[in-house]
Amino acid sequence: MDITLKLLKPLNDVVGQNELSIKVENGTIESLLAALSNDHPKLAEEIIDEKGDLDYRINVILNDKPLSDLNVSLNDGDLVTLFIPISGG
Amino acid sequence: MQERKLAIVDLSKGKVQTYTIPKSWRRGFLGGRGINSYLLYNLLEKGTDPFSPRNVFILGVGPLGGTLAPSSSRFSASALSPETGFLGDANCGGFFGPELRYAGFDHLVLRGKAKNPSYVNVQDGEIEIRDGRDYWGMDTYDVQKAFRKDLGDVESVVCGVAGENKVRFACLRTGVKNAAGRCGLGAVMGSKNVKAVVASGTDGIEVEHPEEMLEVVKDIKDYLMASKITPILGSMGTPLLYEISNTIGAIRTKNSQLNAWSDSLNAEELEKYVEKMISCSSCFMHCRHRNMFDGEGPEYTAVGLLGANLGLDDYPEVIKLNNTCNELGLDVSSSGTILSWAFELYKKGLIDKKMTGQELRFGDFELADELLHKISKREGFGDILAESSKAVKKFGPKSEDYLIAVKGLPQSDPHDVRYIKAFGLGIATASRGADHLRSRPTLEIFFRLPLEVKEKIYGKGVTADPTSYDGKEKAVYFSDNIFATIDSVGICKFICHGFNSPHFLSYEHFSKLLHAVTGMRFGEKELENIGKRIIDTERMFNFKHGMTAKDDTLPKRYFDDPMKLKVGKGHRIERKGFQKMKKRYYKLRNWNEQGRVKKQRVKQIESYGGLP
Repeated sequence: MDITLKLLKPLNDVVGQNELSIKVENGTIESLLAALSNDHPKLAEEIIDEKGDLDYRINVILNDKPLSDLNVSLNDGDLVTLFIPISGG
Repeated sequence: MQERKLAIVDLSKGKVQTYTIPKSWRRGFLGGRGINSYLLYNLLEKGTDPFSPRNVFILGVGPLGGTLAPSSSRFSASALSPETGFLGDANCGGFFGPELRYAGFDHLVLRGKAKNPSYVNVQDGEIEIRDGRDYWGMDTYDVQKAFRKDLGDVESVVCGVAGENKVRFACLRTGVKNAAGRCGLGAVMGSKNVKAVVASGTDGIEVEHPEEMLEVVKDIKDYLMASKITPILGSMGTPLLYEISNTIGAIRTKNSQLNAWSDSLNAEELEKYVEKMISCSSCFMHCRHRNMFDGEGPEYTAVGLLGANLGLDDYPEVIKLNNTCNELGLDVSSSGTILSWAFELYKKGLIDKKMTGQELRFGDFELADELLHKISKREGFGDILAESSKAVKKFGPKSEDYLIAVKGLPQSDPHDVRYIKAFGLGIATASRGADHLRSRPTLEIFFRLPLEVKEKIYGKGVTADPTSYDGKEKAVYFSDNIFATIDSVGICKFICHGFNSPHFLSYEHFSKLLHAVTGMRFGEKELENIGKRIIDTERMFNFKHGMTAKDDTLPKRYFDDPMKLKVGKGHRIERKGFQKMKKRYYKLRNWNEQGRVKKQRVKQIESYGGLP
């Protein structure tokens, strides 16, 4: 299935694009991360921790729903937004 | 041990008296905001008019201010606020705070009123009230240049034309953009017939343990530089936050009628108009933009409140409005909030052309710029807007339903707090009114922060879900305390534990720095208790000047109107949940059910005594 991955600054700078179209094998965040590791290793290095999990400092929004638990099903055409949630001001 | 000095300048009598700050005050309140608040509580009588000579205007620098300690540029300005009638307090970076210390003083109190326009000159231990008539009427840039031309290498904190005209949200300015922005302190300076405090000194600051200081600073610098957040803040500054808030649908838009706005105000668009990044004294973050329109900024606050909130989506226009506020000496936060409030009232028919003299509408840059100039001169409709939230008296009681303010202070930042409930409690209970810089528990936006990490910082009982009311009082309590402490040591909140990052500087680091600089040992718990004491002192001050628990509330719109867009869609603050959360916050602070500091605690704080 095809997932659109939106990256907010500064993550977009790593790949030079604001949005990526990612093909994932099954509808899990795990498979999305695997595809990223393969196609965009520099980005993967920024956002995946040493255990292979998405760094807890990266926020994930699936369409308009923020995720605290990444155990969700992705559907074809979903928009996944990733960002570092700085909010001090 | 390092000695610290306080001067009281009586502008009416033309007299200056200097004091050594008692060690007990330094142990109890550190300096900066802490000692300022304690002085305010002691010096101001109940019933004082903020514009009367009886109000006092205080500048204060913390014990780390102007040293090698990272980001130690800050000073605090305090007075009874003409915008709220309660605590007026604002914290500011730049180079003035350190220079005041190099000139020999840590705290400066101005009381009374000068007969003619004046400025206060502080130089190498001497203070003089000087004729300032030649400087009166200048904008904030020109007057600082004039002081440099006339007096040499000086730093000054000034009020603009807005302050001279007692606009209730006039700010203090130092450098091109640095502002003690909130609560109308520029208007208090102007009401005293003072254009500026100018400082220059060659004394430096005595550091008790220089070698220890070098080691501590190196360790702290390495710690901060290892963070992922540091380079991000250094390359983009706060405008980065616009896209984040907008993504979750938390950007105050058109007076909070909407909660999301255009991507054209994202930080990457701003980069086209940035000349370079610069920094304040002793800071390696360099989070500030020098823009291509002869100014500095905008910060995230200006992007949101002079952009989305006014219905503007063109970056050059937003930058120009930001520069206008800076030149005139207007607080950006109140300016954006008050203008958008008036625009909505006009659209709703609650005010009309008879009062405004012209059509008001969102999305009109020329109109916004013209109104800012009129406000600063109190000209025409600008005279009403210059009253800030007190314009309700002219606009009618119904207008208050659309005012985004707490305790009369327009909300400081562009973040719509209806989604993250702890942010709501923070601005409702903050000691100076609706302001994120007093107690915002920003880690609430880390939606995937493990609960154990959150509990370690905020305490057991805090919940992971940002939309829950449960345990959020703990997050606000933690933030309130540590922000009061960091404001009082003299370091920027930007590198404070729990502000932009789950890491950064905490009581442990403050303790090491304080020992190296002052020779005084402060335990981590003791530093946290100082924060609590400062919050209680500010609460005592506010209650003395008429505040009640009813003032700890939120704008009606945040309770009644659900957000319309994006992640926040459908969210609002429920009154019942909010009230319960507020009660728990009072309990945590050991205030009584009416939110008042208990008698025994008042007695204990008052026992620190008056001026020596």
